[in-house]
Amino acid sequence: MRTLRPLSGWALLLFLQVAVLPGIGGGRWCPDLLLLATVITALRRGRMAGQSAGFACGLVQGLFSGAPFGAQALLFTLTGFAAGSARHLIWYRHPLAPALFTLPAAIILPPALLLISRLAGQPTAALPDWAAVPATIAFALLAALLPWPATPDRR
Amino acid sequence: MNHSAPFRDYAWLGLFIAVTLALLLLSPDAAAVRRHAHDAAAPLLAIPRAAGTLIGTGGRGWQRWQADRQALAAAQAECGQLRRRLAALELRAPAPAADAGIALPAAQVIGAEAQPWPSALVIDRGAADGVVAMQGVAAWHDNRLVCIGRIGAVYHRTALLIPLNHPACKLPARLDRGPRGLILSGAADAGCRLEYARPEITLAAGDSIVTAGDGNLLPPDLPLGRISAIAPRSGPFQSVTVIPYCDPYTVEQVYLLPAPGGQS
Repeated sequence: MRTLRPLSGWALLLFLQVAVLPGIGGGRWCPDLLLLATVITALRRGRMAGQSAGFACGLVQGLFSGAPFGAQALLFTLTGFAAGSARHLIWYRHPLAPALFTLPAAIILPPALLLISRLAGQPTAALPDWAAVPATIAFALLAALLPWPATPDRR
Repeated sequence: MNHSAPFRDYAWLGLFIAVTLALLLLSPDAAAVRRHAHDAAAPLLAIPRAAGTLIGTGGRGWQRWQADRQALAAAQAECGQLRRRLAALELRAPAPAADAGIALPAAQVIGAEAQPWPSALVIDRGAADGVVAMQGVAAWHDNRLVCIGRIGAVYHRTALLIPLNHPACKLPARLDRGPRGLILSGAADAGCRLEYARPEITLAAGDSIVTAGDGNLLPPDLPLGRISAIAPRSGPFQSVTVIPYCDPYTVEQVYLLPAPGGQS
């Protein structure tokens, strides 16, 4: 039961990301829930869990995107590692901490993904719609309202 | 506090990055990247491969390498002979430079743009050779120099030749010993169309169309094509179809006309 609950949470997140949210508003305002989950995991459980979650989320994201497979995994892994490493700079248990960490990640990731796509042989790759950034931040603020279980303070 | 935790985190980060980079390089999109990497590594890989061949096959590898080397030398000698024969044939070919009174650089047609017909052709001269956009291109046809199109995009060592029948090709033209102010426009399957032919201009099938020299774009009086049909007039201008003298898709060697305004 202890492993089933987080697994069902990740499955629900994946279902929302790939099946439900892209259909709302023509997909333009689709938030990057996997990025948000990576940041929240890194903030709550440390950089090891953050980079692992980022790697897994990036692989899943890569399956459903047109970018070269592995690009998102690389960027999400680095995001999880960075968020996990920098979480002690602020009060990372604050409800608004995920939004604070997600905002720069959501802004930096699209140009970085474009750069990797161009380097990996996709000359026609273009920047995505920036509408996903406020949507992701809005969900990060919504996540502050969720009752998160207490986690041990790990590095 | 567990002091091995940071090392473990960095080790896992390195592993994740290695896996993602491997996935990136193995993705179908990265075929060009892999090809470049293979080309760059080829000289380095050749040494251990050659050593492995020599060691693995004993003395036979050395004999095979000698035989390959002799075959390569023979092929290079034959290539040199063919080059000399080609140079001799080019010397005997009619000299368009003398006919036009100017020195025209030659270029070879090395391919066609990968798109549905009519496609632009690719020539082996580019910006490094002084080729500029809108420069006229001619070919030797029936013992005279005829215009076959103009230069489109120019790259470092190659350039796109837009043939006369390409819809993107529009050149100032005139009737041979007739009035100016006409535009020869590419019409794909139909050859070319003569635009802005006013009704008072007397045209007949078989009349020759030449370059007008307007705007210093092309040298004047260079043959372009021959009028093949004149349709009944339905607007302010006559509807005239022109067939180019020379089919650009059969030409192997072309000559670059002086650049517009003497740019090159």
